[in-house]
Amino acid sequence: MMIQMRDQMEKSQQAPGGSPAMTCEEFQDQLSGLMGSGIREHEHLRSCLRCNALLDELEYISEIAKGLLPTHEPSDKVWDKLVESIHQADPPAHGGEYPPNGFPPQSKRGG
Amino acid sequence: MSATQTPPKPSNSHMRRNPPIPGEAEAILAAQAGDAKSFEFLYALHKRRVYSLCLRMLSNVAEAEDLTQEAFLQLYRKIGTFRGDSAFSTWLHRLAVNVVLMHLRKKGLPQVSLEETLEPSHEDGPRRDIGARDLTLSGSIDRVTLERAVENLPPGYRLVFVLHDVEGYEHNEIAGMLDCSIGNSKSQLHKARMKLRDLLHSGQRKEVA
Repeated sequence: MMIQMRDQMEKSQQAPGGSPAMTCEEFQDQLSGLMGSGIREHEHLRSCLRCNALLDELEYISEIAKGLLPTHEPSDKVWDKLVESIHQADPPAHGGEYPPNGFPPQSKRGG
Repeated sequence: MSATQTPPKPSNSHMRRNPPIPGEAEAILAAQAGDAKSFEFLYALHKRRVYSLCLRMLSNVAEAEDLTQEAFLQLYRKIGTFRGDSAFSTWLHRLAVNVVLMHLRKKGLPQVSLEETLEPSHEDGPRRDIGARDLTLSGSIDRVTLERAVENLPPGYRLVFVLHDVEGYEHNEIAGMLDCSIGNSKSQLHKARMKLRDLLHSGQRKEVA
């Protein structure tokens, strides 16, 4: 009985300002499944400043990530090699030239 | 999932990030008829998005360029099958994701081992935040800093983070792509965010020191 009480007290001490019902460790172990709508209503967060701060930071990272723009530009050689590979995969019929507007029409394509 | 499969319909959440682009619909029709200029126009419209996706998933410039080329070659072969059921950019980006995933599986490297990436050892898992912390991230990081941190994520974490938080795919879509459970996708994403948080805090401490 005494051991159980001591364990309970230790668990409570692991949650600074938190609910004895769930320690920070226990809450964070379950966090991946809890993330999303409604997590802010979780009982542990009503009284745990540390886990609230952790959640703020994880949501902040996610928000910044949503704003990552497609800023990277491929080099010009990507287009050149692409055209080359299209021509290799789809040579002009009867050994002739490509039409002035470019690639063979869809109906002639393989692959 | 094979890169040769037709990309499935995307979720509505993904559509929000792919609004219609002026001139795109006409260019698609012309490219379907074999007009090279229109195909080049489509390439110019989407090359940054496709390349950025490849680069973020792979963290390797040479591989990202090769797979950008491969994605557009696939586009050339498949554009006739595009019927407009979803936004073209959504369809194209899913095609590009499949190209990257197939490449990773062919390489057989650890980044596509689901056992390794989805069930990492305890040491690889997210550290809990029980101890004291003297710096806060809120308001202090920019996109460039985060981009650098993403490059330093373990490959398995990076894949799920890029697909979910950057590209906007839902967990059920990611689970389908990676052939894992929704719970695993959620777990990987959480670990990725925790790892990023660690990396960003480390960067802050170095700046302060």
